[in-house]
Amino acid sequence: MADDILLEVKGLIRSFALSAGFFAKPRQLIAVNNVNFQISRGEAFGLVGESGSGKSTIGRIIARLSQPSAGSVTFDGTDWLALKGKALREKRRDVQMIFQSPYASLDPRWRVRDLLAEPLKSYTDLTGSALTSRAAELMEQVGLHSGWINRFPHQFSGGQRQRIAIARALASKPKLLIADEPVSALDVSSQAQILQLLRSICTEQGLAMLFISHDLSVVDHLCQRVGVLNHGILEEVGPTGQIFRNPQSSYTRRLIEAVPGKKRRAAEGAMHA
Amino acid sequence: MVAASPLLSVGNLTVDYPSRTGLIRAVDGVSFSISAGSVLGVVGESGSGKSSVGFALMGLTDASKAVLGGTITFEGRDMLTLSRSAWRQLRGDRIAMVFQDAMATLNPVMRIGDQIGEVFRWHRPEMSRRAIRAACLELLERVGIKDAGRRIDSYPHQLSGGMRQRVVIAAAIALKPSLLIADEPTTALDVTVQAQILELMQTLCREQGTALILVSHDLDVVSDVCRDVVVMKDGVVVEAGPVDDVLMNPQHAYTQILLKARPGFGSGHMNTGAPHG
Repeated sequence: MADDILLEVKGLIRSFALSAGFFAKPRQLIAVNNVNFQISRGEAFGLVGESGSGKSTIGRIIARLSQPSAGSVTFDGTDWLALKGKALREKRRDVQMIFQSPYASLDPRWRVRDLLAEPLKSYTDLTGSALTSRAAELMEQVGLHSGWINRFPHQFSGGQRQRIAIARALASKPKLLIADEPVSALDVSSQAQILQLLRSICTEQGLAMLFISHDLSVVDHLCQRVGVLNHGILEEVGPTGQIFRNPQSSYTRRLIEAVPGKKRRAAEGAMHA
Repeated sequence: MVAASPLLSVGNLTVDYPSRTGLIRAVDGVSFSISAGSVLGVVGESGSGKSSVGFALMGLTDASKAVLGGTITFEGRDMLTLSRSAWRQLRGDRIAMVFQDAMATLNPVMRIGDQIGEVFRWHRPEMSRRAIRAACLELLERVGIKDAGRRIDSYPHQLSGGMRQRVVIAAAIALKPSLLIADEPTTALDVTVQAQILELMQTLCREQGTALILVSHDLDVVSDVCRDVVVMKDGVVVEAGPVDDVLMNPQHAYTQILLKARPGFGSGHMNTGAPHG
């Protein structure tokens, strides 16, 4: 069982110094407060919480975009936070990130082929036509026409752009995908398609995913396990069904209580009964 | 809809925006009506024309040089022939609006008490400064702002997102309008705050008999709050009726897509406990 664990986060703390004025002693904001959790290989793990709960900070630390104040992260058997320089660059391929807004995460001056070629050049020794055909293959993997490879990001819809961002994340064949609110900026009908795509890609490729979201319904559908964050503290963590059906913390209960769609759930319940 | 003459009725409404290549039709023949004190949801994705309908109902289409067609009848008056000054009298008094982004709605350099007070100064010039301040204080308390006596002199940036939206709602309901239009009022807010704000709007509207039009992309939010719903796509109403009917038995393919796109909370792992797939 222990071999199955891909990522282990232990005692993670991240504090920020808040300026309280020029002469005043800065106050401490503890954004992440002693957080522990594990993600198994191929597992989709959801991290839910409201804005300011620290969920994105945790994602950024695991992606090595931010340093924690204390704690350890073990990824695939290595001390993840100790990696530096060349070793870090080499290992980074294993953890890739998808951001909330594909309008901000794709450089508008780059063609899709260049956006996809960038990680391929860094992590593979593909060149020339092999590089282009791999980029085209990635496009098809995310349900886009490979002939669109010479287009610019603005020639795509929001949902299509997020597909390109996913294709770029898949280029290095990662073991863990970190998706930080990947559908919040999209229309409802493209949301469902992107979630479906993420789900099938993870299943097919045995990819683990850290799915960061404020949306409990989406996490319910996508993730086998979930952690609930409240002001930097992981209130509870466990199988999604168990946590959402039988929440132990009062904060989780409050979050569940606030999920819209009560009437619809009642209507659907009556239909199935 | 049983009421003999509805509060608002919209008939075959069209909204066209000028562009370099000619007019673009954003709303294409929309009809619905709402009776006094009831709650109607308008659902659609971006570009469906739902916000354009809201702007047309508020007489806010002048700036974009939009061309309106069809009819809008509110409290027995034909709104499309109304003069600008008549609109100014009506807006904020009989019809009010709450927008998505409270920070953009509020003036950042004006104390919140003064901003709410503006509604009274404009529409009730006979009110004294003292009476206005007392009315503002009462409104802040009604929308659930704690310590209103101190908060009345705060600036918008000193308040949380949820509190700002409460302030916007306070200004909107100040003169007890008969119609409140809320365009994605909770989209920028956290789930728990969203639930509180929706509850607040419902309670206030019920108490003072204000009809509410809730414009949203979120079918779940609309279904919790509204009795009737209008589903829009590409400027056209594709489905309309009581929420229960539309949810239980959606007739149009697009409504079915919308419903499927947001599988309800509790129907995933929570229900089956099954792994992927």
